[in-house]
Formats: sequence, C-alpha cells, structure tokens
Amino acid sequence: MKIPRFLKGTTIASLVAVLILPFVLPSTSLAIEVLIFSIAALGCNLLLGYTGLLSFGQGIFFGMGSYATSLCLQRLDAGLVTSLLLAFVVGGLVAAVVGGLSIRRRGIYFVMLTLAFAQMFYFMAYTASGLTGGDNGLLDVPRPPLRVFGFEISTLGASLSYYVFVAVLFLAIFVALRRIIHSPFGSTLLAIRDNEERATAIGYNTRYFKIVAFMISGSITAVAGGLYAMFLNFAPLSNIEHLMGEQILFMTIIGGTGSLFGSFLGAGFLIVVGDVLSAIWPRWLMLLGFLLIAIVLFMRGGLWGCIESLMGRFRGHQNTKKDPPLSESPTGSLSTKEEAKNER
Amino acid sequence: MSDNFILETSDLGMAYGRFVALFGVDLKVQEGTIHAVIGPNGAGKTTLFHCLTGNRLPTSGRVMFRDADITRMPSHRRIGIGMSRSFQITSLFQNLSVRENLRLAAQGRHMVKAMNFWGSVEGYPEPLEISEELLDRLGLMDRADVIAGELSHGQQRILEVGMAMAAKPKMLLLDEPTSGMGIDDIPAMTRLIKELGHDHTVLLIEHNMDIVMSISSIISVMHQGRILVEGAPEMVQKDERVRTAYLGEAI
Repeated sequence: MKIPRFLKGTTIASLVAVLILPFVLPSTSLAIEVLIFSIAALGCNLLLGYTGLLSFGQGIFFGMGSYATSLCLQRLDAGLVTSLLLAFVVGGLVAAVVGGLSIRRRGIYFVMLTLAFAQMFYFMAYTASGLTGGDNGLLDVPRPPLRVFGFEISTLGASLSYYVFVAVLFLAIFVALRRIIHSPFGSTLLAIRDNEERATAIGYNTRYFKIVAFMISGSITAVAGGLYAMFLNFAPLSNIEHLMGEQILFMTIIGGTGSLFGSFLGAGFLIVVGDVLSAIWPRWLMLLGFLLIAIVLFMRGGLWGCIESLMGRFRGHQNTKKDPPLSESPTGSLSTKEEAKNER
Repeated sequence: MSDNFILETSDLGMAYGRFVALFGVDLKVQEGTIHAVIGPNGAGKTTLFHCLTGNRLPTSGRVMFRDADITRMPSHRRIGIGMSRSFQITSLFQNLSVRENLRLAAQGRHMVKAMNFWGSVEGYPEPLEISEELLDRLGLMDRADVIAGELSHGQQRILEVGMAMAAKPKMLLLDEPTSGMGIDDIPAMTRLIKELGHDHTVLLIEHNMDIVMSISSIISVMHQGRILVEGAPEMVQKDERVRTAYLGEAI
C-alpha cells in the first residue's frame, strides 16, 4: 500500500512530538499551550511562509475565535464541537474581510493595513463590552465534554484528556495543511510568493488565491483561539491585542517560515523558554528581542532551517539549499521583490 | 472585422499626463505570422506592448483579439482567451525548479482546477505532461530539477519564452526575447521563435535586427508613438524613412 506523502516525514515527527510532549514538559498545561499556539503558528505560516504575506492580523482571528467559542458556549449553551465550528467559520469570514481589503495593496502598505485592522478590532472588542466583557474579558468560559452524535467521549475535565483532544486537532490541522500545500492551490501560493507579476501573467487571479489563503489561515487561527479560551476558562481582551498577533508571528519566524513543523518548534520554543525565563527574570522579553534579531541576522531558516542544515551536514550531503521554498525567510523574498522592482 | 487578423488595435492612444507615448496606432496582426515591432528607443514599443497585455489601460482606442474587445480585460484573464506573453526583464519563479515553473505556467490556464486545495499536484496530470513536453522542446530536460534562478542567463531567457508557451496560446507576445543574451545563445532563441511561428501567431518586440530580418513575415517600424512603415523585411530594410528614423536617433 502506498502511503500518501502528507502522512510521511514531518507528520511522523509531529506525531512523535505530540506523544512525548506531556512527559518531557514540567506540566500538561504547558504542553496544551504549546499545541494551541502551534496551531495558531501553522495558520500564520500558510500566509507568511507559503504566500509571502506578513500579516499582523493573526491576533484578530485568534481573538475572534476565542470570543466566538466563548459566547457560543455561554449564551447559546452549545456543545464543544459546535462552538469550535463557529469559531472556524467566524475566523474564515473575518479573514476574508480583513484579507480581502488588505491585499488591495502590496508590500509595506499591505502590512500597515493589517496592523490598522488589528488595532481596529482591538478597540471594537474593547468598546463592545456587552458582548466581549471589554477590559475584563469573558469570565467563566466552560469546557464542556466532548460529545460526538450524542455519545460522550470524554469530559475533558482532566488536563491530560484536554491535551489529547488538542493534540488530535493539532495533528488533523497539520495533515490538512500538508495536503493543501502539496495541492495545485498550494503550489500556486508558492508561485505567488515567488513572483506575483509572473503568476498573474500566466493566468492566475492572485487575489482569489490570497483571499482563500487568508480564510484558511483565519479559520485555523480562530480554532486555536477557541481552544485557548476553553483552556483558560477565560477569554481575555489580550487575545485580540496586536501583541497576540506579534507573538504568533514571532513563533512562526523563530520556528522557520515555510516549514510546518517549524511552526511547532517555534511555538514550543517560545512558550517553554518564556516559561523558564519568566521564572528567573521578569524582563525576559528583552532577551527574546535579542533572540529574534539573532535569528533574522544569522539563521534565516529559523529553528527548522538549523535542524535541516545540521541533518544535511550529518549525512555528508551539501544539500542545505535543496528546498529553498521551505527554508528561505519571507523577509528575504520581500527584499528580492523590492530589488526586482527597483531594477525596473 | 476581417477574419485573418487575430489581433487588431484601432486608434490606440496612450498619454502619461502631458506626454503622449502612442498616437492612434492601428496595428493589425495576421493570424499565423511572426510580426515584429521595431523602432528606436522611446518609439513607444513597450507602451504598445503594455496596452496589448493589459498592464496599462490605453487612454483612447481599443484592442480587439479574435474579434472580441479586450481593451479592459485584466491581464490574468488573457491566458484564457489564448494570449500569453513573455517579459523583457526575466520574470521567473526564481526559487522553484525549472519543471515546476513550467508546470505552474501550464496550470494557470484552468483557474478552477488550480484552486483545488485538497487534491494532489499529481492528481492533475495535464500540466505535468505539458511541462515534460516543454522541457524536451526547450532542451532543458537535464536542468529540469535545477532551481530556475541557477540557470545561465541564456537558459533563463529560453525558459522565459517557454513559460509563455505552456499556456498553449493561440498568440504569443514576446518582449525582447534576446534581451541581454550573448551571441552564442541567440541562434537557439532564433530557432525557437521561428518554430513557434509554425503553429502560433507571434508578435515580437526586438532590437536585434538580424533576428527580426531573418524570421519575421511582417515588420512594423514605430517612431515617436506612431507606426511609420509596415511591410515585409526587404521592403522595410530599403525604406528611406526607416533609415532616417534610426539615423536620427544616432545623431
């Protein structure tokens, strides 16, 4: 039997990682947090790594997802699956609007538009306190049991059972994204990332592709937001702050853009290191700044790029440059595009 | 409209503010020919090209392709009606393999199939077949898995034209295909364009006189935003006005 490509390689690596994570980390909650943010980083990676879109709007989708799930649970008394599905749909729709308007501009103007949207949604959430709880956030978000067709599978009360639930979702999203990336659609995203002018000239309406990429990214990020609200039993305003979007971006870049497993590495690294450092030194975020500078300057492929080149050296191959779409940083591709424009 | 003109412009004008780049150009390209547009620098060739590919909206006049008005059609939709282009400044997917470049170019013809995000690339064989066929035709088979950015300049120019061929167009618009090519690579390009002329209509903007004179069936000479002379290569070569236009530039 032939095993499809999306079930090999990094999918197996993720499966192994998910299995050992709760045992190597000091607490299960930390493991849950790692996976939730891995999902968010995966969503971000589709835009940043595969489409070349640097979006500061990821916090919007995360926050909207956490509000949608929480409100659905609290006000509509809906079940777990329904609430997460609602987050998925809301995330996709919000992303269609934010993305659809932002991609009308390119390069730095696009980035500025996503930032503006991030601020706008933050203040909307802040103002609409009747719905979102404003500054206080939504308190007492329940974590209902997991029921499928009326059968209760788990109460999800214990940390470990919630971890298993999140892990299954993480793996499902990971595999789905791998499929998407190797589909005709995904290959076209890479083409748009590389050279949008050419992609248009060979017949692609690049706007459709970017909007769909945004919608997939928004849906996935919103699910992460919903999971986070149920994990905290609380949907704080900070979920929709632009800092949230930045954090997701950091994770994606540290892990390595254009590599799905990198997103897991980035999220894991940032959360675990943050957990350790914050216990030692309250100003740990400053160290993070240095780290990010170091990665952008010396390790453009992020953690995954590092592992890849180490593996390459280990095997004695010089194929570190084998997969440029998977190891090249988007900042690089942005700058080459600028250069190409300047030539003209 | 006559049937054997595949592309026609009528009274095509383009002004950038007060600067007029094109004055009422009436260009008629006959189906199945290699039609070259030449002219000294600043004659309006590139502007004309932009108007034909949909990159610029002309300020007056219209462009007809196979009897349909395409003046305002966005560039990405022109692939679907059988019109494709190459770029003067090489524009490839520099980080993707040569094979993938061609496959993507072939896939672009069917937007709906390209939007499929659940199937695999292998599940849509037509673009794969076209890319193999083109690799062979372009003589790039042994470079198929190389990243396009690592090809030699000459090979990149060949691939540039190949990308335009992948959409299986009726008409190819080539913007200075030999631009920046070394003398050694030019014969290969000339041969390729000549072959293209057998089953496509080719509109060529070119600086290299040898190529233009040897392969085109009709030449339009542009000068100061107008078509100055149009005719067979021998006739254009002898025309006094053409000489003056080019000499005028030299002085």
